[in-house]
Amino acid sequence: MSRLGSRPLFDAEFHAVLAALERHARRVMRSDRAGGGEVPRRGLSGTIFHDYRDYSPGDDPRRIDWNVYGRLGDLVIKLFEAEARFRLHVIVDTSPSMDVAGRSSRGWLAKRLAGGLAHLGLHVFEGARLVITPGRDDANARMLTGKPHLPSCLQRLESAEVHQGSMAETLGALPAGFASRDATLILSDLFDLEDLERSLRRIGRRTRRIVCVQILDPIDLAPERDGWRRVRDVETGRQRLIRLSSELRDACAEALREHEQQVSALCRRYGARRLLLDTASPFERAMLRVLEALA
Amino acid sequence: MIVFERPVALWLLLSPFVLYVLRSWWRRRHGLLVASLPLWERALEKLGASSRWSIWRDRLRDLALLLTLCCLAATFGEPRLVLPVPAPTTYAIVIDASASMAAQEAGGRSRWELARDRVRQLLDERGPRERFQLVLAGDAPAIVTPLDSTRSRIERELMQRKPGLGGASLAAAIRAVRPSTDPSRRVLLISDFSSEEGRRLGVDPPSGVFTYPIGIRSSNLAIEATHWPGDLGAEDRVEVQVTNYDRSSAADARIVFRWNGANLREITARVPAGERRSIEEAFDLGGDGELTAQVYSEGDGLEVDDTAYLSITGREAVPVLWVPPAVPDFEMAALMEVLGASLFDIEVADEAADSWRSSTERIIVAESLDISRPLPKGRYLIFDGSGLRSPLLQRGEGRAGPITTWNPSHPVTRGLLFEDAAIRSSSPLLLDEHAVSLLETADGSVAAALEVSDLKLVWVGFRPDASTWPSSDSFPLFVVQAARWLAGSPSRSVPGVHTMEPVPLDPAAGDRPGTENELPRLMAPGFGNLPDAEEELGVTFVNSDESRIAPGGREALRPPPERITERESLVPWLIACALFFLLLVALL
Repeated sequence: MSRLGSRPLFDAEFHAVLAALERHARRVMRSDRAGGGEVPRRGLSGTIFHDYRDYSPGDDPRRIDWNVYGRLGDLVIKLFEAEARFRLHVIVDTSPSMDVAGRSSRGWLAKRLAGGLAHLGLHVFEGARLVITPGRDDANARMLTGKPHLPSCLQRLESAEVHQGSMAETLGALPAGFASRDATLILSDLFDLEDLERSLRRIGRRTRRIVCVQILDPIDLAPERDGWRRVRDVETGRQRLIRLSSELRDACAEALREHEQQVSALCRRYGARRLLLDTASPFERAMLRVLEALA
Repeated sequence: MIVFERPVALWLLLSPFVLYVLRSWWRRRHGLLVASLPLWERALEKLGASSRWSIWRDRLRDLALLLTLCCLAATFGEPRLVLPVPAPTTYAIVIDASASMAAQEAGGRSRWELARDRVRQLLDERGPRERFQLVLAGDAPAIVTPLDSTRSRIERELMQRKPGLGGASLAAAIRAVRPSTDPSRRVLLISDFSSEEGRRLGVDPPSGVFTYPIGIRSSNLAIEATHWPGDLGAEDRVEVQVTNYDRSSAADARIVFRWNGANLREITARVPAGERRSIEEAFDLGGDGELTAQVYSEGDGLEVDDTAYLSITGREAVPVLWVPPAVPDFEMAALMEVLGASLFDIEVADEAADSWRSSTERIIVAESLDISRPLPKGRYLIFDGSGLRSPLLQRGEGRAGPITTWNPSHPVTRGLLFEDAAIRSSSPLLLDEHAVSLLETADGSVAAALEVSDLKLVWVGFRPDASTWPSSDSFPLFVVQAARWLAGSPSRSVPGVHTMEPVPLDPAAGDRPGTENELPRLMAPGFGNLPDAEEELGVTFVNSDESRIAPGGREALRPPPERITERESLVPWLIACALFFLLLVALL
């Protein structure tokens, strides 16, 4: 049970969706390789051998190197260059702002997306690194490969607490682990532009593929009820008495649009893609959009 | 000052504050948690609501709302503004009702009619809220109307009055209507100021007394006479003092001495303006009689300015009224002087003067007399009398203690109670068959009445001012009854109780040792019960036709209740304020 949401994070529906998404991800990756871009255009069997890795349950048995098994008795899988270069760095924002419960918690959705991406990273891609920010966790530095690491990843997400802090500081404390062939996803509300810029500055030089997933909620706009309310910033604790009105709602929507434009401009400056998600979006659709953004 | 008709409703004033606290609690309890307050603030900036004025506007709106609720809550208390209204000035109009006021003036109108016109003029000059009291100063002051009389009543009463046939008791009238306890009471004195006392008042009136002379006053001269008996057949000497009250010009005074009505001598003297001149003449008077000294102003014809009377008996002249100077250690003198000046026509004597010896017509109140010879015939009210030696009364030794027994059958102590009287030291008496004990302590008699031939004596063997007695009602009544008993029957020296307000004490009395803050306390209770004395004891108050108090009795002497406040309801103002604040809330 996630602290951020009342619903279970990783239920049977979650795994069922991921099973379907796994196939879709492979297809997307293949089409991605066929479609050119930064990844070299090479076929599955004709790609250049890159490395071995241990076999983990769920791996395609056809990719087991039986020669090695014959000689050494170890079940290993041959990795080719196209797959090995694609590792996922999933950065999940667990700051208090992600815990503001509106229609549903954006932190809940972010963790679900992170779990799904970790699943894909371990099952489909070369590996996955789960970075939970802010906070200092040694597990943030580990790039995981192989399906056996998925439960630990999900466990980390489930047990993640709300922390006050900066995402950029967390990333700055990590050892170098971003490769140019890796993909990085930031799952956050991205309200702190300065923190986002500093984070992108740290990531952008190392990875070529960055996706900033901005998760918003209708609560970010003023509520429908009019009247005086004391509004408190969940991050800073600062309070202010504000009279709610339809004019303020319109002004909030406009301010939010401007903020989204600023986020987009910032992402463009650092070669990142911005993906806007709503907490009301179904998980399956959100994952598909993320995968599309990755492709 | 604001008063509330329903103070209980003031608790409602707390309701706005309670509501305010509840609302603050609700806002805090149901506050909005947002992911990014700066985003909201940017929105507020777009609305123009983030300026400093906007913040203050919010606070002003809260304040106006709070004040609105307070005003509405305060209306339930029905507040009223109490406005102090200055008490109306009381004017006592004292009119000279002496015989001289009947004199005709130029134009054929009498001085009395001129005085009535003057009164009407004075009434017209005063404001509608002022109060008036009409007092006629004849032989004795007469309070005609109470203090809160209207001008129509004053005029009506004045039309029904006429001047009397006697003199004018102007000073007594002023004392009667203007006690020192109420210096705000103003006295309008209307007189021809023809008498000696009138001339003094006309020239130098007391503070708060405004004089209005009527008629043409030609007499500015006053005369006082003193008799010095001649020893061993020598001529008697009479000293007259002539005072010229005209401060602008000197006067040629013509003084005519008469002995038993016959002209004796006539002299003239020039008296400088505003000064007093003393003239001494020697006469061979022989026996007893009455010497008069009349003073005329040269050029005024036969109109007498003033007359001095000297009643000479036993070749000693006794002044008509003699009040000896106060001796510092004579406490009873001060006490009795107050009594004598206000209640009784009695004299106070002390050992410093011997003239009391020859006063057979009057009651002598004495203290500590050192008598080396038997008391002459007369009437005496003696307090303590530590130096008294009398074969009729012998003294013993006594102690302090309460008065335990009193004689209810004797006229002096009849009807009086001495339960609350205790004395500090006493000199018990050893009475003979002529004396009647009046008061007794455990040690014996401490007061007695004695009547032998022409000698009547009430002897009090302790000092009243060294006891708790003067603080009780029985003290002044005892003095009244003693004076009446000593007088025997109504005569010209009958002590009279003037119906006056509590006696103003001489401030100097407070400086005397042992009397500070004591005399006022001592005097007040007794005087307050004087009407009771009239009813119960038959004490005759001096109430001649002119001096009888007008309907209303003693109440006329008391000022009416002060209307000192006016109350204006503040409810309309509060509602207006609430509406104003509400409008402010709407505008903000």
